[in-house]
Amino acid sequence: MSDNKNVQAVPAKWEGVNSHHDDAWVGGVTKSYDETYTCICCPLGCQVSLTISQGVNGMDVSNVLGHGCVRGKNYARQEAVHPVRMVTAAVPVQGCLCPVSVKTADAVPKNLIRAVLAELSDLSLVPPVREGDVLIPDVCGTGVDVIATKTVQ
Amino acid sequence: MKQYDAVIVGAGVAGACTARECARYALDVLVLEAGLDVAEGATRANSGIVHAGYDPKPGSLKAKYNVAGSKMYPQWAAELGFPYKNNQSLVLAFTEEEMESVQALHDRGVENGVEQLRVIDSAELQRLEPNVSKEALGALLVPTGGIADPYQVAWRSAENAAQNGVAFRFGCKVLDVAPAEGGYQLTVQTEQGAEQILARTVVNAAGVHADELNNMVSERKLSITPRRGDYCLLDNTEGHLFQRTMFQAPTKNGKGVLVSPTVHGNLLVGPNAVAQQDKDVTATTRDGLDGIVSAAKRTFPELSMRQLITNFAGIRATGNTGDFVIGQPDDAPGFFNIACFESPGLTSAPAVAADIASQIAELLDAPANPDFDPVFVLPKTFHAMDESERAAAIDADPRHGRVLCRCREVSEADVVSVVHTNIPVLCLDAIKWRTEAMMGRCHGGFCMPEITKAITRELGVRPEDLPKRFAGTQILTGSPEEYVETVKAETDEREADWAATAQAHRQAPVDFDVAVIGGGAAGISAAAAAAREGAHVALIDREPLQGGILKQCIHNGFGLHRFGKELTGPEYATAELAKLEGLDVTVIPQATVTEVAAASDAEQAKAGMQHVNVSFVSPQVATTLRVHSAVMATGSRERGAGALNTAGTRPAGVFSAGSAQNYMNLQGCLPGKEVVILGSGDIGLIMARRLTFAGAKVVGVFEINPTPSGLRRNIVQCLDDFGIPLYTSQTVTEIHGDGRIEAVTVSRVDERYQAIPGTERRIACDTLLLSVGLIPENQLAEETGVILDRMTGGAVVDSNYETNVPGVFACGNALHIHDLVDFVSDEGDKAGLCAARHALGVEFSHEEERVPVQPAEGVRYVIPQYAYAGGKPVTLRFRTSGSFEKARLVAQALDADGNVLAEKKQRVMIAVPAEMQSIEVDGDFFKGAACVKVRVQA
Repeated sequence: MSDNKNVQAVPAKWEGVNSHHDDAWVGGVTKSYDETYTCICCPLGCQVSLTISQGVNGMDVSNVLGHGCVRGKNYARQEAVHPVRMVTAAVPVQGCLCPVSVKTADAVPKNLIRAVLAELSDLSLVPPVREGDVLIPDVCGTGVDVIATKTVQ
Repeated sequence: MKQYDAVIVGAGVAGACTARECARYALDVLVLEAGLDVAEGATRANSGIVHAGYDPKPGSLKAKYNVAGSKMYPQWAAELGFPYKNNQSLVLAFTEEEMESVQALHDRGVENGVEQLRVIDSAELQRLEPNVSKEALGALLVPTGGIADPYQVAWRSAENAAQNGVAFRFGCKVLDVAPAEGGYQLTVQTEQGAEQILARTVVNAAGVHADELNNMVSERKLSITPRRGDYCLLDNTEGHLFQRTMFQAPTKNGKGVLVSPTVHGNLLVGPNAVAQQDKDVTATTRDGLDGIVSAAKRTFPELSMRQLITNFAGIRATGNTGDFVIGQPDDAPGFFNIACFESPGLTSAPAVAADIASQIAELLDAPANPDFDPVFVLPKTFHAMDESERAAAIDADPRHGRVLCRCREVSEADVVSVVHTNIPVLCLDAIKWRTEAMMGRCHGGFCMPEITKAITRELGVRPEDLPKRFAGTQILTGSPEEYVETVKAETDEREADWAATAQAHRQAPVDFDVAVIGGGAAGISAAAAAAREGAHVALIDREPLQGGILKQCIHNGFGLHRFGKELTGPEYATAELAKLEGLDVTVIPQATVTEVAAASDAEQAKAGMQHVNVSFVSPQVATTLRVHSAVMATGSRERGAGALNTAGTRPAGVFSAGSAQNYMNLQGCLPGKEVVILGSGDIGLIMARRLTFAGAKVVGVFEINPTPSGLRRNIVQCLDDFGIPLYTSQTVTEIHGDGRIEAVTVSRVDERYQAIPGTERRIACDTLLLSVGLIPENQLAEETGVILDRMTGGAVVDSNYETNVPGVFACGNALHIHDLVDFVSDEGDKAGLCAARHALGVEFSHEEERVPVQPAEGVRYVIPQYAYAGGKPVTLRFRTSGSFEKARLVAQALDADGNVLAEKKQRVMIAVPAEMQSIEVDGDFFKGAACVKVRVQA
């Protein structure tokens, strides 16, 4: 049984994003299936299972079981609906041997990691690059900037 | 076409020494070497013994040349400058039968002309060598036995030959020799194709292939059976255990193995003798390695592989006659054999060379060369200099102040000085063997990336075009296009900066309250804390930019505790460095500390108070700071390939994870394309993701323990996310590949970590990354007299983070390996504060008695190992020895009878060894206690 507390609307920025939960959306008919995640919040690594379904109000996560604490519950729900990751990388700077280290300012959809890296590989940087500089605003349309994490003169 | 007077085939010790001897005559000589360096065969992989000559059969060529050669070594060493030591030998006997064998060796030695031989009893033996097994009955004492560096013997002989006009060509393999007009015609394979070379005489110094060469020109066929010898080499902390080379008496079972110091202070164990098919394959085997260690324990029962830095194998050229084959076969005049040149080949080489050269000169009627200069000299190395010599050397060449290899103290100037000699450097290993760089306890982990930059700059060659040893053995798979140009430009800029600031550095003050050694996370926070307390602080760091290992940790996950948000390594470093703003901290970058010494009583009396001398070198100065407290924040190094004692070959493409991380994140290079990772520690997991992002394929991660060592979050985000498999209870048992690694063999292991026979499988790869443990870096501390805790590998400290040496403090990874940098900084805060108070003479409010703090059930170690009652709260940091769910961590203060005086408990959901725990207790906790124990209560 789903309870409305768990309903999470898909935010506008995630629309159109391919997800391996794609088959959950089939002509408005509610589909549901189960997933299990290993929580990463502490070394216990609880196996948290849950049910994902497509409801009229958006994706619905219910039946969350196996978590040892609320952090695990939240982690599993996030992984189920919008798995996100921080991306860190190193980008060459002209005339410098040492590349500049960069990161996405926030987590981005996990299945966009490759696309983000591809956009980064197109970057052509010249010194100086300062820690905090925005190198790619709104990378891959995620609304998240890629920023430099160190200063290269 | 040009015809040489003599063409020497092979630049091993035989060919190189013969080249040198030929240079004494007016002869036009060319040396052809198939490999990219001298000493590519057996010369590089033997015991380095300069034998006295009691072993060969009397009347044999081996006996004749061994004794003659051994007498030539002191003069050759003096002229060429290779390391040589007349350290003597002993041949041990453990049974009556062996004592008879020893007596027979004595008699044979006398017959061969060996002097001063004497059979001694066990009492005298124990006096001479206190570490030898008490089971030995006696021994043959050999006062004329010696040790040398065989590579250096060959290399310096070759350099001397070249300086006197002998030509050398590398990468030239002789395919055929045939008689021709006036001598011989050699067909040679080079990179450009096949070539003909004419020679009036040929010297066959082709090592294991000498039989093939001889058989091309003579009916007196030779047959060489390759016999492999495996060795284990221990770090130069162990060389002092024996003065003499310790042999075992030959029995009907064989010659036994030796245990010997080397000229560089290492301890060498081996060899066995295994006939094999292939003449060139130098893979060690598990049985071979285990066999030599267990055989060596007969001589040295306490032998432990803890300080192992590498294993290797060499191939002996054992001829079918059992003796050397020297000189012209009767049917091939002008063709001079130095064949079947197994032991005592190294010792015999100078004598054989002298003979052969004079025979050639006589045959060709060549007069002496009046300009022959027997001396080959190189500038004194950094390691060999004292402080004033170093200061002068740095004045003349700032590159002497840049230490590239800390473990063996090799400066950039040392490295550059061997690159541009007559014998070219065509591979990275040539640097290793000429300078000892990359041969220390870090197994090249730290220094290889730096040395790569220096060498590629000097040679103008990109890293992927620089072989490790053989042609085609790339050390890296890719580098930025402008790598060489960029390195050159950055070097010029850096050196201009040195010149500009040299004066200021030389005039800089040397008196500080506190010196912090190491500018990583621990050092930065210690320096800041000390300065906030009012101390005048010096922060000495090896790099131009501070932050230590954080600079290359571009991933995030740092600072959650200390800053309340997750930062990447560089961001954390910047944030910590920002705290130095406005504080009295003088940062001394690009400086390598060479010694930390408590001032002598005389010095202290003169200065009026206890102090510590901190000596360092930089490209501008070699000087000593006089401080009241020193904080050792020297971090840690990675456990390297050499420590694992893995069987197989030692090809290019094996990296410690941190070293690969350096190449990728600080130099923009790609280590390889198909990667196997051994060890599931965090650094290995992080690199799995990093390599995947760079387009490499990570084949799998293999963990010897039944559970992964790294954080769960990294397993998910670095492996699961990319479908990289993690295999537990498995390890790499063999490495394959002659030049670049081609594959590994992995096996399952049992609960005692022993490989389970039958579970082996071969996995193709071009790169092996090792993430098999971090070791606190305390070479400097040990030399200072700091007592280390065997469990942690770091110093024993009290609750002020002070070691047993007054005024010397320790914190960070050098004290014990941490998993969160936040706690490293916290430790630095505390150590810095205490170091400052000590320096400023501020009294601590503590009682004189200090209380030992000990690990008990379920706990592996606790820091600090001592605490003072009263005073500020103490954070006890420890790791459990196993995994405990719903555990209660308990610290108890006990009196002399074991009664609990005070107790503090803490519940955790789960405690695992991979995550450090802590319990904070206030100062009163220790009052009246005889000891404090920390345990896990199930």
